This record gives sequence, C-alpha cells and structure tokens, in this order.
Amino acid sequence: MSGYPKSYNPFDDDVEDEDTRPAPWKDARDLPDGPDPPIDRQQYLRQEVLRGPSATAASTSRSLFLMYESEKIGVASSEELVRQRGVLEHTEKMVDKMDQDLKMSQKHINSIKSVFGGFINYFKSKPVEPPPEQNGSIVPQPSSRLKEAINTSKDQESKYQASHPNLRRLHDAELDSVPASTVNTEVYPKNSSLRAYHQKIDSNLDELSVGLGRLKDIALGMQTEIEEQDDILDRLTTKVDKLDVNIKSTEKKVRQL
Amino acid sequence: MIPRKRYGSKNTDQGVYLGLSKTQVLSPATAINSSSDIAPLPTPVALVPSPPDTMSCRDRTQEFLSACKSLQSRQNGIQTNKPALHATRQCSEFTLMARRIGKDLSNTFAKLEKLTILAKRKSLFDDKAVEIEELTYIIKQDINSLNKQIAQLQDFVRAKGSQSGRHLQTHSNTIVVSLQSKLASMSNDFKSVLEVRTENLKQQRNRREQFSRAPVSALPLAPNNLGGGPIVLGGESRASRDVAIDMMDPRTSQQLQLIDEQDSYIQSRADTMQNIESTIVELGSIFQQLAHMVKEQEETIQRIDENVLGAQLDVEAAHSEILKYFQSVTSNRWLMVKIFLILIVFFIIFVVFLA
Repeated sequence: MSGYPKSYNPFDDDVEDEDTRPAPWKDARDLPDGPDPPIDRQQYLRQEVLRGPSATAASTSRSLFLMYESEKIGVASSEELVRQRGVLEHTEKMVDKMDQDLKMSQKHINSIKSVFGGFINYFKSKPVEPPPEQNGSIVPQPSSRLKEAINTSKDQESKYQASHPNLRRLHDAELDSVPASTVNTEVYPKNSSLRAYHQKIDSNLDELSVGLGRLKDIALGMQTEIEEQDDILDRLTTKVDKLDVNIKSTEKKVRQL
Repeated sequence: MIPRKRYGSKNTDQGVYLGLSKTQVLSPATAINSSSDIAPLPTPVALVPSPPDTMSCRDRTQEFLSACKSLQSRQNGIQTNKPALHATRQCSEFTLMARRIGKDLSNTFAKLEKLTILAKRKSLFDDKAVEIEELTYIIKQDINSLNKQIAQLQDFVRAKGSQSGRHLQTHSNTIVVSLQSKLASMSNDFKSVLEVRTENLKQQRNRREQFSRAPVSALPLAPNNLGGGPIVLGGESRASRDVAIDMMDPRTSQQLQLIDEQDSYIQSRADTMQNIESTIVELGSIFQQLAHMVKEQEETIQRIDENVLGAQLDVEAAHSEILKYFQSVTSNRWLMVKIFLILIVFFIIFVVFLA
C-alpha cells in the first residue's frame, strides 16, 4: 500500500516536469520523495521578492511625478518673479518722472513768487539740464541664470505630461507582470522580472537625479532674482523718501502763494 | 452696561495677569484692574509700588466702588472705552496665540536637539532607527502645524490691522516675521540633521556590505567539497545528481539564504526610496509655499504700482495747474510792464511840453 501512493506522486511530478522542464531532469526529480512543500514555499518567496521591487518602482514613479509637479510650480514662480521685476522697474521710472515734474514745478514756483525769480531761474537753469527721457519701454531682463533655468525646465514640459501616462504604463506593467510570474515557475523568468524591475528603478532614479538638478538651478536662479529685487526695492525706497520730502516742500510753497 | 463692563474688566484682568506672569493676591489684582480701567497709560507706574502695598480689603473695596461709580458716570457721557476694551481683548488674543506658537517652537527645537544627538551617533549595532524615524515624523508634523498656526496668526493680524493703530500693527507684523524666521532656521537645522542621517546611513550600509560579504565567501565552502561548482541552481541540481538524497536540505537552505539576501537588499532599497519620496514631497510643499509667498508679493507690488501711478497722475495734474497759473501770472506781469512804459512815455511828453 505504501508503494502505490509513491507511484502516484511521481506521476504528478512527471506531469509538472514535462510542463516546465526538459526530459533529462525527470530522473533527478523521481528520486526525492516530497518536493511539493519546497516548491510552494519557493513560489511564495518568489512572489514576496517580486512585491518589494514593484513597490519600489511605484515609489520612484510617484517621486518622479512629484518632482515634475514641483518643477512646474518653480517655473510658474520664476515667471511671476520676472513679471514683478518688470512692475518694480516701471514703478522706478514713474518715480523718476515724478521727480522731474517736481523740479519743473519748483522752477515755476520760483518764477511765480517774484519778478526777479525769472533771473534766478535763468542763472540756475543752465547747470540743471534734465536728462532726455527714454520713452522706449524696456523689457525686464532677469538674471541669465534664472532665464537659463526657465528655458531648460520648459523643455521638460513633455516629460511632465508623459509622467501621467508613465503611471498608467506602470499599472499596466504590474498587471502584465503578475500573471507572468505566476505562470512561469522557473528561475530565469524570476531573474528577468527582477532585472526588469531593477532596470526600471535605475532609469527612474537617473531621471530623478537630472530633474532634481534642474530644480536646484531653478531655486538658485530664483535666489539671485530675489536678491536683485531686494536691491531694486531699497533704491526705490530711497527715491520715494526723497520724493516725499520734495512733495511736502512744494506743497508748503504752494500754500504760501 | 454694568455686566458688559464686568466682562471687559475680567478680560483685562486676565490679559494683565498673564502679561505680568506673577502670582499675586486677589485684592492687588483688583487694584491693578481698577487703575488700568481708569488710565491704561500709567499702568507701569502703578505696578511698581503695588507689591509692597498690603492694605485691608475694606479700603480696596471702597476704592473699587468709587472707581465703578466714576466709570459709570463717565460712560454715560462718552463711549470711548468700548473700542479700547475691544482692542485690548484682541491684543490679548494675539499675545496668547503668539505665546502658544513660541512655546511650540521651543518644544520642537528640543525635539530637534534630541534628533541631532541620535543622528550623529555612528555606531553600527547601537542604531536606534525606530526612534529616529518617529522623531523625524513628529518633527515634520510639528513644522507643518506651526506653519499653519503662523499663517492663521498672520490672517488674524491682517483682519485686525484696520482697527488698531500703526504702532500696534507694526509690533504685530514684527512678531509674525520673527516667528517665521525662527521656523525657517529650525527647518534649515532639520534639513542639515536629515543630511547627516543620510550620510550615516550610507556609511552603515558600506560597513554592512563589508560584513555581509563574509557569508557570501562562506557559501562556496560547501560546493568545494562537491567539486567547486558556482552557486547556481543548476550546479546544485548536479550536486543532487551525484549524491542522492542527503543534499536536499543544504540545497534548500542555500536557496533560502540567497532569497533572504535579495529580499533584504530589495527591502533596504524600498526603504531608501520611501525616504526619497517623502523628501521630494517636502520639496514640493516648499515650492508651493514659495509660490504662495510670491503671489502675496505680487499683490503688494500691484498695489504699489497702482499707488505710484495715482501719485504720478496727481503730480502731473498739479504740474499742469502750476503751468496755467504761471502763464496767467506772466501775462499779468507783462501787462504791468506795458502800463508802466506808457506812463513813462506820457510823463516825458508832459515834461517836454511844459518846458
């Protein structure tokens, strides 16, 4: 009776061997009695092993998407900073124009105050020559660093749009890889699956590294731009203070008239 | 009016008491309360002699009643106390919020110091990874909550800015900016601590790889007995061919060791990837905060631009008005000059004819 179940088990082993491996392996498989538990455990461990890299690949894909999103936000912020720089420069030119208007008003008030004021203006007006106003609207020129960073990042817009289908491809790849790993029980498909996952992880990490480098360029460019805008704001504050003093003195003289 | 006044006085009492941060008897607090109600400005002057004064309750009660009567008679005529109490109440709320944020900042700094001490430890076997991860998570959440609280405080200051005076508004803005700068410095410290931790993890991994190569070199010892085959399942199957049954257990154990090594490698890689992902999430939030600040600055610069444009238009209008007045004055002067010349001519003619 004990010999009959043994003869039954090798038959199943023979069927499995015929399905998965060539004929010479058959004799080797006949000799051991109970290969079933190790094979099941190996399959379980194989699935466990494949779960780790798939999670890591999904994590790298999500990181890549977040990086592209951050890059997009950085580019938008940089453009906003450039526009603010234009507004600040426009404000500065308006302040200069107000300063010149106040000087002309001062001259007219001097001539209004008394008849001899005209002679005073005549003597004064020679050294005080107002510079010719540049009517051309100067386009705000940001720092070259920020400009290069923005241009480099705008070239990556297609990659940003591709990151969404990248996630979809990842899901499709996962759906395709799971039945493949369950169908094939050999060692080679497991290695190829692991190799594919690791190659995908490595390529995602390389792309992530390049993207983080671009983010660093954007951040440094924004830093330079903000420092330059700080200088513009300080200069503008000084000019506005002078303008305030001039306006007050002019108002006082006008009230005296 | 009396119940409202009492409620306001209680709030003032709480504000003054919390501001003083002293433990005093109730009757001196009442005296301080009455003095602050009458005239808020001399409060520091009144605070100096109050600790040595220890009067009886009866006298203080009478003073309090007289103060209530005077306030009641004053409130019948003038209602200026209400906005003062309202401003004081909001100032107290602002102070409470700022103090709470400051306390949370100090607590988070203490946690960051603890994390720094743990992260700087470089031993291989005494690594407290769980504690470091927990502290990192807690500090991240604290930083996020502090960010939200400072944002709420800033909104509160903006909502209150139109009601209070300029000095109070400047003071509030200064406090908000100082809290933000403290939070920024703490974030920088946290970033540096995480970088130190990353370096230590790399060094530990290098050491672990050096140590983990020993079992890899120990594995060929078993196949050396059989014939020195490589660690491949094919070689193992050949070994199983040569020796019938005894090699099944060693083969399985070797395979399990290989799988465990791969699993640990993949697990460590997955953990590292999780850390990288969380760092990139933080980077995304930093960029979003920067975009938010740039947008606020855009609103401010837009307002500056409009104000300067309005000022320029006003200056141009004033200039044109001065020009018109100047022209009229000039024409008047020329008219006076002409009349004077005509008079001179007639005077000369008159003198010639008379002579």
